[in-house]
Amino acid sequence: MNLSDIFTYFVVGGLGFWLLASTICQFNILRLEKVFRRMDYFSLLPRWSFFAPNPGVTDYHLLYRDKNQEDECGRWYEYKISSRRTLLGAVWNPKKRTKKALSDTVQTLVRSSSQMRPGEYKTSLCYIALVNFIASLPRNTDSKATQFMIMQSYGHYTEQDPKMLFRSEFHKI
Amino acid sequence: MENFLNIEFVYLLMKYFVLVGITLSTVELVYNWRSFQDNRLYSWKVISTLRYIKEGSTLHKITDWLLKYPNFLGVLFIRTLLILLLVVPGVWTFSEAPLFLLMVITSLLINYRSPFGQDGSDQMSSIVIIVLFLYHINPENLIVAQAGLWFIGLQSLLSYFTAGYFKAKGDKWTKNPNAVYLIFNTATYGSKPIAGYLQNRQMIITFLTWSTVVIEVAFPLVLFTGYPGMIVFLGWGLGFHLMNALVMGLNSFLWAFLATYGAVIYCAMQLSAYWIF
Repeated sequence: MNLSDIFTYFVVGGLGFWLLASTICQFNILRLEKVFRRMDYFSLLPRWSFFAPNPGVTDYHLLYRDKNQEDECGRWYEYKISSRRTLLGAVWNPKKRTKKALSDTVQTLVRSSSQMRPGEYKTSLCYIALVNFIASLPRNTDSKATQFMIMQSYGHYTEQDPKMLFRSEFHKI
Repeated sequence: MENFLNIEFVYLLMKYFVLVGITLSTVELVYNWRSFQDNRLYSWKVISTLRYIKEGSTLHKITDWLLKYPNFLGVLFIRTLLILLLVVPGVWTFSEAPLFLLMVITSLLINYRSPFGQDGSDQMSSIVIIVLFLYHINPENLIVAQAGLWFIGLQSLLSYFTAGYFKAKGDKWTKNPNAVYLIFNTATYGSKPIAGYLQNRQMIITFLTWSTVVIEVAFPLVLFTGYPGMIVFLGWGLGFHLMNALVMGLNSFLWAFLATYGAVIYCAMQLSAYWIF
């Protein structure tokens, strides 16, 4: 067996295994999904269940407010996670990535905050990333601390009022 | 259609489609360069606390150096350079394997640095680019070339089938089929004028919702429909991704999934050669 044969077996076997692992991870066959995902450092095992089984039918809103040196709280401001759709967005949509990242972190934090104790979720990646993000927004120099809140609304055409899902503590900035 | 039995042609098509998508996503990353600073959303100081490579190891030291700000911008610069070398004819006259290897490495580094914000198009692009690298190591190796095309074709079919299968299990897709309206009604992935048009047009909503589920589940049949039957599925796929780009702003999905269509056609054509009827 020469080097070329070894390479062929290696590639064909590797691709076969990768396809098998991808299939297992979609349907959690033999409950092996967690085992494979734990080793997937580079996101090579895809998640193909787009918008299913329960599509996202609500919008998340990220709001923040600051406390000044006199401990007075300012008004709430919204950092818009969603943006107005344009025709150009079908080709060039650079804000999509940040919006998707914020949407992912907000959803994960809301989910984990209902399953974990405060001490646990406050040290989670999503919580720290959101505090970091909110603290980086341009603001009044008088501010000494900031707090964020996550709200949920129910689309353009709805009769339901928005609902508060999560409110953080104040964090020094 | 006979062109799609030419392996070289299919890989060339795959290369150009995926590179359009990769160019878009790379330029988008460069456009958002500030978000990689240490006090921003993609702070490496924060994200690195989650990562898995053993601390203190050589690999950890290398990835840490490459992924911290501002070095990560260098990775994006190299990626841009690679795209130019691969796309502009006559600039790189040697084997493309080293370029694709570097492209794979930059893709893996970006994936590693992005625990949030990535989507299915990034995953499909990574898969396609790895196969392109394996093919270019030795384009004369017919078995590897064919295995690569079958792998991409089957991943593509798996993606549509999985999406349809799980939609079929969701009440908003089948029992009360209004998922399409509900998604279009959101500000995150929808459009107010389209949601306004669909409101109170239940027949259209039901048709759009059910047809998405049915065609996605049936998509693997493209392997057996032959030509021109496959045009129904692939034409629907093209229209579906175009609409998602226009209405939902999912621009990179179009290119990542189009890149797989050549492989899907190749597999379907190759199978049809074995038909006895």
